[in-house]
Formats: sequence, structure tokens, C-alpha cells
Amino acid sequence: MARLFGPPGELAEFRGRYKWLLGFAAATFVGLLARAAQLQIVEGYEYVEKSRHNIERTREIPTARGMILDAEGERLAYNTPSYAALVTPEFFDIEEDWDDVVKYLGLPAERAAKLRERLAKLRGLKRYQPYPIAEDLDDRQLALLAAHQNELDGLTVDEAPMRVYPLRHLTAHVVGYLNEVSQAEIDRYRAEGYRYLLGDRIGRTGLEAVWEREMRGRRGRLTVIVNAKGVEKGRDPLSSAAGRRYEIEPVPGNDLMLSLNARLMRVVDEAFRGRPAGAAVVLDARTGFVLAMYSKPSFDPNAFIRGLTSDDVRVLNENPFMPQHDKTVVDHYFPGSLFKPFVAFAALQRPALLESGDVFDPAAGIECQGAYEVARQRFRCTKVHGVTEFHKSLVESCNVYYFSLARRLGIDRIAEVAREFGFGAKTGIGLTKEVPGLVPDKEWYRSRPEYGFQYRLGYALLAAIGQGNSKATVLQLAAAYGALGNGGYMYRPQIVREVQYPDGRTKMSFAPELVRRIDMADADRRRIVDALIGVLDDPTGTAHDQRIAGLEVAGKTGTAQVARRRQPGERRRRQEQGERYADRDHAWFVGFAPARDPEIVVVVLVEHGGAGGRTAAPIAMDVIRAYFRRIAPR
Amino acid sequence: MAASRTFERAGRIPADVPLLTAVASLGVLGLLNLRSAVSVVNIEFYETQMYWFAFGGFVAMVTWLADYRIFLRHAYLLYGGVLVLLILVLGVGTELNQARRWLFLGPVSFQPSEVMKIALVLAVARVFHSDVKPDPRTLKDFLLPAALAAIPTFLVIKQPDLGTALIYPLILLSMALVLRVRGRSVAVALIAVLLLLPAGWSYLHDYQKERVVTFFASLVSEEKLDVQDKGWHTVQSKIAVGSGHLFGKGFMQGTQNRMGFVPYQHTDFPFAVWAEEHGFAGSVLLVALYMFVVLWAVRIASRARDRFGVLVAVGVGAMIFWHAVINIGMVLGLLPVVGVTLPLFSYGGSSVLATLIGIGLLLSISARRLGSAWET
Repeated sequence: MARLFGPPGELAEFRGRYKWLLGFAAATFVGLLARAAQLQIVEGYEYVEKSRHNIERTREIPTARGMILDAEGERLAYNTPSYAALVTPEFFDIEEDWDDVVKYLGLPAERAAKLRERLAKLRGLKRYQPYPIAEDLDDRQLALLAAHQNELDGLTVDEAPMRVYPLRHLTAHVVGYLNEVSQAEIDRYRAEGYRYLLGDRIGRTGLEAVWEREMRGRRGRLTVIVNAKGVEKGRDPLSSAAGRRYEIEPVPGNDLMLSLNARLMRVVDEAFRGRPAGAAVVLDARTGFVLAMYSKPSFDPNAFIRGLTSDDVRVLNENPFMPQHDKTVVDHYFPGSLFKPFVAFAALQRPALLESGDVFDPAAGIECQGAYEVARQRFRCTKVHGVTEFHKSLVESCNVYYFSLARRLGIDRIAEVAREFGFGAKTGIGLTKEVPGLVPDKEWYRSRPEYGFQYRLGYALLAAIGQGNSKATVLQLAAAYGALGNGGYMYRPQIVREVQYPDGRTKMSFAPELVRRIDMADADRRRIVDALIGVLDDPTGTAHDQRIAGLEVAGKTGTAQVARRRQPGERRRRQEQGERYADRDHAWFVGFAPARDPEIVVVVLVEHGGAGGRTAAPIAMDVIRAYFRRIAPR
Repeated sequence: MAASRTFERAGRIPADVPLLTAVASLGVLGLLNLRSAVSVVNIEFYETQMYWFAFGGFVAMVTWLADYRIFLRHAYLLYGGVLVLLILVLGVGTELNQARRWLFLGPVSFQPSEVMKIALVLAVARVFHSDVKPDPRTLKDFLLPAALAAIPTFLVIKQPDLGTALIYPLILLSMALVLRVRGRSVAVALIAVLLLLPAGWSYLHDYQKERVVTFFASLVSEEKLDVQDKGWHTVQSKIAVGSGHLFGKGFMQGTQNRMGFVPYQHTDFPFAVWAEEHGFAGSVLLVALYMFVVLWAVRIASRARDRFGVLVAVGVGAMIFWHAVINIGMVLGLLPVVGVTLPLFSYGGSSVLATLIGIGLLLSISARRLGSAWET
């Protein structure tokens, strides 16, 4: 046999060259194999993992947020099935496809521009998470997207339950609304172990915000197989398992059962017809549970869910009545004459402990000549009441009587009793925002530069009639009157009765929460309640024309001054032209019934309503009447 | 030589069975692999490729049966003809993926740069065939062959197709290795190449420079590569190969391939598909087949009847060697991403044709080796 390599004869020039060629080629190929061995054997498992990681995408399964139900099971917030369009930035060609998507979805230009900007800003891992660009898609949008699905890489349509607030404006403040979660919130909640993704909605205000953790539920996760463009492919080619498998089942959120009564809310709304702004709170006087909480004007929370346009925002922000403010807890007002019964109680409770040293006698009369003078300053009364004793002072709401009482009690004693009734501190009802109001005392004035670090007697006089620097919220007044009516049981106002699992089992149940027991003698209570009944029943009472036949109601009217600058000649101008709406005082009325053993307490504030007896009382009495006839007939 | 001797007398045809077996195996495996690779690209490519295999096989058969010395006679003519086509491409060629590489003749597209490799091998072999020297060669002897290689190199860089352009000088270099060259000349040539490198760099297109840069960057860190980067191709290609592990994911089961993570899986990265679906075992088989073909080409050279045969066999071996090594090296992340086909595996008719003509030449040289029946 011939030699394997190497020619004879004339080709001697090449002899000896072949072995170099062979060696070089063989060595190179062996080198390639060594590299293949490194990748496939030594680092093989690593690359197997990487290739799995490439095709596996974790998909989030939305969960159903808990519902909010009123006392009678009516839905105040629930979810409706809907579809959302999502874009995964990494796989979406924003230059090429964005205009088409906007066209198919019919997005307004402004919103489209904003979204585009936001999508372009996403970096890193977030580019792989689907970002919702339109929700609650209608049939036309769905059809268009389906028809063009193949041209639009990175665009997916997914089920996304939509939050609905069927009572719209009526419950907007209490129930609140959802909007998009911020990066800061995502980080904060992550520390607590809750996962949110950009584009998720989170409770922003009201109960939706406060009970976020209970209602949110837990998102499920599932692993799907995707190609390099992020398009889902049916089957898992590695495990041959079915294309989808749940790794974590979604857990629906818990439901909130409120004490709020939607029917009563409608009654309140009806009663407020014709009044552009105001607020009302109805509490169960025996427990502190909120039956109605109403603030007008309001807004439609469903619009917030869909996303507001800048026009919507402008309209909301420019409305002088501030529709987004919950006037029951976020704004505070001068309590006005509504404060008088607490001053009266201060005198009754410790008649011998007056600052002036004498003993309080409710039967003793005080002469009201229409004004009261202290340090050459005149403090006005509403009219000349003549000789006024305790009963008449409340029935006819005589300021002079309380100026005199304030002088003898001292501001600190008034403040002390006020605090016992919950003024000057947040009630703790558990809504997103609540202001504490203000109960000024000597110390307070002495710490304020605007008062020259000085306390004056006049401040006590103003405090006694709920003016000056006294501030209270509608809710505080309702809670305080509840305690006054029920004999001193100060309950924390609550609005949530129960938290239920989606299957209806009770998770948490809330009992009435007694904040404190106020030391209130039965005789004292009776004396005050008698007077408050007189407000309606006595012919001279400030709300006499509002009484209800067959139901004994205790009430009190009030007027809260609206801060304004008095101008020279104003009195004449007002007489000639009538008062400008925005300058008119706020009208108050509080009523509880049945007067001797109250079930409900109603506080009504009509902003710029003028005298309380004329505008606020009819509303409150409508509510009380409807409550006993329709809501809880006896 | 008489024309009647061009086709040999009837009777038993001396067949190089080991080479035929290896090439047939590569062809069958290459087609199967292409079936998997194009399954997510365009299944029609598979059919097209089969037609090219049939056509290329026929041309190879003719080449095999014909006396290769026909090519000795017409080497320059052939070279000139292909060169004209190559110039034509720059003028009227069709642009695809920002490169002007193809001539369309009706429904058939054709890359002259691929066939140029064979033409170059033949032309260079012709030069040295008639240039017999007892002493070691000097640089002067390489002037003409260098020019023959340089012209297509520059034309192809213009297309631009850096990978293919690189093959021409590499083929010339490999063929020079069988010749005896004076040591001093080798040293001078090396220094000249080193000096020319910066000039060559400035001749490159920006995207070509970027590729080379990303390649070296990716050796340092893979962190910052995104989907658009060429480095990302290498990363995904390595994942494909590595995840094949010992025995692979199975035919048509490669997720990197089927889910679109391996880029250009039918043209530049068929080895990634192969290695992913058949594992290290598959890699060994395929690399061994290429190695066998290359080594066998050298063996055919060593037993060739004449100088032309030796040089052509070495040239064809070099062509297959460099293609396989550069392509696989690129897939394994050892070399930057350049468009060099994997012989008989990559989709592309011109490449198949060029490779099969080369094989035909090897068979022809082998059939007329010293001591064979057809030795004349």
C-alpha cells in the first residue's frame, strides 16, 4: 500500500510541508472542540438555565379587589370584567407602531403623547413588564386590536377587572377612588411584602386607600413560554407540560361591610337639593357608627379610574367649592352656636368650680340687652333677649348668656369640657385625611405670636359661642352631640362594620368603641336635652317651624361666620343690594332623635346658608323624618 | 491533451469513498439542520436549498469526471469572468440587509463572491504550477498571486462583506504554506501586514468596526449588551450551544432556535442550531466531519499527480477549513460576528455551489492521483 501522505518524484518541492498543514488544521479543530466542551459540558447547566430563562416569562394574573358594601349590602364599589391593552416596551416598536395603536384605540392626542413619553422613559427590567395603555376596551377597540395583532409586537390584550362606583358622586369622599401606583409606593409596599407593578391601581383616597391591604387581594403568577419578541407560545417545549401552569393562584381581596346606608345617603342628597355646598353626618348615637357622611359638591370617582384629562382636572381644581374636599372631616369650621350646649354642660357639671368663685344656678336669669361689654369692647347678641335663664339661653340661642358664662367659667374650663367631647382632636374615623379642629385655651393664646403671646378675656367670650379660634369638623360635632344625647358615652365614629373574606366568612368585626365615659349627671343631661327639644318645640325656639309631629327631636341651630373683611359702608350696601353669596355665613343644624334616648344624631352644614334655622334645619329634619319612616321604621 | 481524454473511458470510476461519505453526511445533516433552522424563518428556504444541492451535486459530478487540468488551461479566464460578475454586483447588484452582495438572474439569486473563492484557488494554483523553482521563494514570486487575491478582497469589502473578503487572503496564505519560502521574506511579509492593519481598519465600515469592538467588549463583560448589539447575538449563540449540553434538546426542539433567540440561524448561526439540538455529541460529530474533509484534502494534495493538483487540493481544503473554523469560532464566541458561511450547513445557493465544486475538484484530483487507473 502506498504511504498515506507524501508524494514521490517531481513533487518533491512540497515534501515535508503537508505535516504542518495537517498539524495546524487538526489542532485548530481540536481547539474548537475544546471550546465546545467548555460551553456544553463544563458550563452546560448554566446555559441550560439561561436558555430556560430566555423563554420563560412570568405573567401576572390580576386578582379581584374586594367590594365595598353598605349596611344593607348595596354595592358601593365593585369590579366589572373588562379588557385592557398593554404594551411591553422591550418588544414594542414605538416609532413604527405607536400611531397605529393610538388610532385603533382612539386615544385622545394629549393622553397618547403623555403615555408615549412615559413608555419611552421605562428602563431595565420594567421594559419587560406589560404596561397598561388603555383600559375598559369596547368591542370596537377589541376587534381592531385583534385584527392587527400580528403587526403589533409587544402589544397584548388582557383581562383587567375595572373598578366601578355605582353611586358615583354620592359616596366619592368616603369610598374614595383608585389611581396609578407610584414608584415610591411600589418601593414602600415592597418593604411590607406587597407586590405592585407599574400601571397597577392603588387606593388613593377614602376607604379605598385606608383598607388597601385588605381589599387589594394577591396577584397570581404564571409562567408562560415566549419567543424572543415576547409573544406567548402555547406549549412548553422543554417540559412538554401544558403551556400554562399557575405557580401562584391569585387570591381575591376581602370585602368591606360598612355601616353607611346608601338609602339614607340618597335622602341626604335629596334634602340638599338647591344648596350648592355643604356637608352632613348621620351617626348612630348608640354606637358611633356612621350612617351617612355627605359632602357637596362632589365628583365622579369613576372618572378618576378611567383617567382624567387635564380639562377634567382644571374643572375640579377651579371649582370654588372644592369638590374633592370631604367637608365632613377635611375642612373645619366655627362651630358657632352648636358649641353652646357644651359650655352649658361645663357650667352644670361643676357649678361650684367657676373661675369667678360663685356657684352656677341654671334658674338664675341674665339680662340680655343685645350686647355684652368687656374692656370697652362690645360683643353682639343676635337680638335683645331680655332676662334669660339656662333653658331660654339654648332655645333662643342668646350670646350674652354665654358671654357671661364664659367670663365666670374661664376659657380653660370650656376647653377642658370641649376636649372631653372630642373637640380639638381627630376622631380617628379612619379616612385618609382628617383635621383635628381647634380648641383654644389660655396657653394656646400665650404661645401665639399673632396674639402678642397674650390671653385676653374676650377670647373666652368668643370661644363660648364657637367663634374666635374654635374650629370643629362636622363629624366631631356629630360625635359630640351623640355623647351629649346618650348620657356621656363618647364613641369613636366608625364606618367599617366588618371585613369579610370573599366567601363571606367574617375576618374582622368591629364593635362600638367607647373612647371615654363623660361624667354626666342624668339631671344635667335632661336639662340640656329639654332645652334642645325647646329649640323645636317652644314657640320661641330657633327652629320651631321645623318640628315633626309625633317625634321628639332635640336640636340646635347655629351660624358660623365666614371670614371676611368688613368694609366701610358695608351694612348699608348689604341692605341695598342683598348679601353676596360668598360672604354669607354658614348655616348649622344638629338634631338627635328620639330626644330622650337618641338613635341617630344628624349634623348639617350648609355653606353660605345664612341662618341655621332657616336652611340647615329643614335638611336635617328631612333626614330624621326619612330615617324613622323609611330607613328604620319603628 | 486531446479533447477525447477530457472525459475518461468507460469502466469503473475511481471514487474517493471516504471523502464522498463524509461530504454526503455533511450534506444530509446540513439539510436536516436547515430544516430546523428555517422552520421559524421561512420554510421555503429548505426547498430552495435542496435545488441548489441538486444543481451543485451535478456540477460537482461533472467536475469530478472531467480532467481537472481543463481548469488549469482556463483558470485565468474563469477568474476574469467571476471578477466581472463581482464588479457587476457593485453596480447593479441587489441590496439586502444594507449589503450589495447578490445578482438576481430571474428568480435565482447568486453571490459571485462565493464562486470567486474557487476561481482564486484555480488562478493561484495556475501561477505556481508553471513557476517551478528549486530554491525557496521570495516575495517577488507572490506579487501576482497577491494581486489576484487583493482585487476580490477589496471589491467584497465594498459590498460590504467583511467575512468573505477575509477568506481570499487566508486561502492565499494557506496555499503559500505548501511552498517553500525564504525566512527573510516571511518576516518582511509579517511586518508589512502589521503595518497595513491600521490602514485596513480605516477602510472598514462603521458597523464593521463596531462589531469588532463589541466582540472584544463582550469578552470582558456581557452585562451591557442589548438586543440590538451584535454582542447580544454572540451571547444568545453561546446560550444555544451551551444549553445543548451533552446530547442536545432534540431535532426541532431547540428553544433558542425555535423561539427566535439565535439570530440568522439559517445563514450565519446554523452551528448554534446544531449544537443546541444535538449537544456536545453533535458538535464532536460535525467538527470531526469537517476536520476529516480538510485533512483528507491535504492527503489528496499529497498524492496528486501534478503541482496544479497539489495546489488546488490545498486551496479547496483551506477554503473549507477557514469557513468552518471562522463560522464555528464565531458561534462559540471565540471570534467576532462576521458573515462567513458554514459549508453545506448555511442557507445559500452560491455557498453550496462553491463548496460542491471544490469537492468535485478534490474528487477529480483524487481520481487522477499517482498510481490510479485514471492517471495519465
